[in-house]
Amino acid sequence: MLAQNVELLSDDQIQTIHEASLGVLQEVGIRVLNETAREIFCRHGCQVNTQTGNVCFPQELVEKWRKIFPSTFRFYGRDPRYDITIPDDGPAIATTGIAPDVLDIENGERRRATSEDLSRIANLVNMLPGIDLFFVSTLLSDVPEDRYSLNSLYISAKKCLKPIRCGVNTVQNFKDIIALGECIAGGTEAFQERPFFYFGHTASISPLTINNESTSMVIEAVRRGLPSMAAVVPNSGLTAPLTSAGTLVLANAEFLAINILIQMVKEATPVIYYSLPATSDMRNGAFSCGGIESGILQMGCAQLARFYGVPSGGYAGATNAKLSDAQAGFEKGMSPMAAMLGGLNMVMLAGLIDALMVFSYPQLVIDSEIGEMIKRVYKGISLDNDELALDVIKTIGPGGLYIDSQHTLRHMRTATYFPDIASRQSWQKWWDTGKYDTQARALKRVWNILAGDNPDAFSPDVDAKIRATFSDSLYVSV
Amino acid sequence: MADLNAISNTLIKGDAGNLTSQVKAALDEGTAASEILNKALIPGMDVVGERMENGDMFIPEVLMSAKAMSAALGILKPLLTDEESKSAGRIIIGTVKGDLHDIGKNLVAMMLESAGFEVVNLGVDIAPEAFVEAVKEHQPNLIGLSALLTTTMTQMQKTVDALKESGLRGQVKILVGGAPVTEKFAQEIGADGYAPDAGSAGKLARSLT
Ligand code: B12
Repeated sequence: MLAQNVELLSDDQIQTIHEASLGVLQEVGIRVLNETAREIFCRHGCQVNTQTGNVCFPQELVEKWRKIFPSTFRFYGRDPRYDITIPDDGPAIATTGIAPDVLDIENGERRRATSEDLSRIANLVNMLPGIDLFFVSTLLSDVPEDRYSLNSLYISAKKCLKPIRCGVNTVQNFKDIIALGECIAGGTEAFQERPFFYFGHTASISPLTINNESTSMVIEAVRRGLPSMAAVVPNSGLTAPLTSAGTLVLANAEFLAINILIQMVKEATPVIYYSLPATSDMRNGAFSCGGIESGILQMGCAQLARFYGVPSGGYAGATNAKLSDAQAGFEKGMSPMAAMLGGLNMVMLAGLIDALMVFSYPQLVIDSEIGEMIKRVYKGISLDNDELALDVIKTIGPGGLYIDSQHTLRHMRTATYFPDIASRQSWQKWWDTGKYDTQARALKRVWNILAGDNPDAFSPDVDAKIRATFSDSLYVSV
Repeated sequence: MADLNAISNTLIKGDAGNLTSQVKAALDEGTAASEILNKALIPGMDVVGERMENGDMFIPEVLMSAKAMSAALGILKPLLTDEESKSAGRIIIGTVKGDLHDIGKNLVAMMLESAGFEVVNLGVDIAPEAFVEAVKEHQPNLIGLSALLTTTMTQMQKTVDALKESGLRGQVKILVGGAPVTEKFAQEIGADGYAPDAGSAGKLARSLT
């Protein structure tokens, strides 16, 4: 493991940001558009301005509540092999959502995503070694909106054993997905014990607002014990100060407010310091999630999360590139690496391009590889005697090659990372075998995986049972 | 003789304080309000527009110039004829029903204001009927619809239809925008224009009035 995280900020600077956020919460407050939330805040000692809906948080109150945030967050897979707890088992690599479009798997053209796409994506995520968490990647243009949550979770869980997350828009959606979970798990208790569906939401809207409808969903989820993740999405220059320090102060205040609400609903509910920080390009206003600032800000968020003793996670490497080109490569390489080195426990990077608007099949495979490399860095190096290799250094001495030593033989399959997509062929061989670029090689791998069996798919009887239970609300044929 | 060039430059710099004193001084010297408007301020804003397009001026600078412009207009307006002080047009803008994304819409509203439009910003989650009511109330030349969700894009169609049904469609031009919206979609639903970003939204609006 890495001996230590890269600290973007000094202890004093972290303290400064923390205190600045407390000041914002106390003096400016949060506009809370949800009545139940306002009541909850009021009941626990916040000052609520009934005219404006603004809620101010006394410093002592924030200090008291932030101390009860649990220190870990557990993701359950449909199969326990894929359970992952952050920060302990991190960094966890996740896909990102929820894109309206895909680049068609056959012709590469951009179009709306369908159930068939999501089914393929679930299959791929299940098989790709670099990806730990499946946050549903796309919308479904062929499913009615009010049944999106149920259908997307059904399609995803059917093919994928890893923990799954999706958006939830109505109370009915909650009932549906809990019922689906129970049906898959084989009972209410089984699902309560291992709730393998997660709910991501944006109840917090920058700047300093807690909205109405999604907040009802959050309160509902917390009460029902469904794990949820409250996103903080500051857009520097538009909905947050343009400077990174100012963005961190604002985002941190928003993180505290929404997660304190969650604790007030049910104490010790697990939370994640979960964010999507990005800058706005001052030349044209573009949402610049591929900017290196996202990586820098995630380093700051991760460090603040450590200060509060909570796990951290969020988007890093959400590229602005329009295809799997070099821009996609460096935007998806640099920010995630910075964020991981800064201690981000869950790195959401896989699958989407064009500022979260489009899913790309080859990109998913490339991102899995990036994920594996990031984890490799995190793993660091071991210094036991065998790895120090003093004996073999002595034996070989000056001159000579290490390639035929026992030591090399012993380590050859594990000491290095073998990329699947990156090419190391000679020029001639590359030329003769079709001179495929990264995107083309990745697409080949996509087809390879999809051509194989998926041993983890629902068995026909489980599938039949689910389809019978939800006969009037499952719209999908995949 | 007032230095109209200097006034233009102050406007381009976005310095509202200096601009208003320069405009007042020019008036005191006897320069006609219409001359200040047509020979200093409007050419100044043209330069701002050009520089933004070339990437030489950033959006916050453009907005500062726009604020300076409106401060200067505040002084000139009482001295101009109605015809001379006419705004570029009135536009109602809002995010459609079920959609809470308003960052892009607000940016478009600011840019339209700086392009000389009078903007009525209705906010988010605006139902087709509410757009119809707003058109009746404000009698705009243009209406701008924003949607960031594919699921709420259908509300754009519904809003266009509602305007048709209420017999108001003929009196307003409809612009649409938002990340998932395309030119093609705009045509399909019978809107009059689409712009991919705030800079081009101003140009589009001008071309339609
Ligand atoms: C910031 C953001 C949010 C913020 C919104 C805050 C706010 N006050 O608006 C928050 C976090 C609250 C949010 C919530 C949600 N979001 Co959101 N969000 C975004 C994000 C990251 C950036 C949007 C943005 O502000 N861009 C910056 C501005 C400047 O650009 P813009 O909006 O595109 O506007 C420009 C142009 O489009 C154009 N334009 C815009 N409007 C108009 C109008 C006219 C008339 C004209 C001419 C031009 C024009 O000019 C603008 C300026 O240049 C996008 C991703 C993306 N790439 O767009 C996702 C995105 C739009 N959101 C998405 C989703 C799914 C959601 C949620 C459902 C998430 C959830 N599970 O809770 C909720 C929905 C809430 C609701 N009911 O509306 C998806 C949408 C998928 C789809 N198309 O259906 C996206 C694509 C991200 C993703 N892949 O998940 N979101």
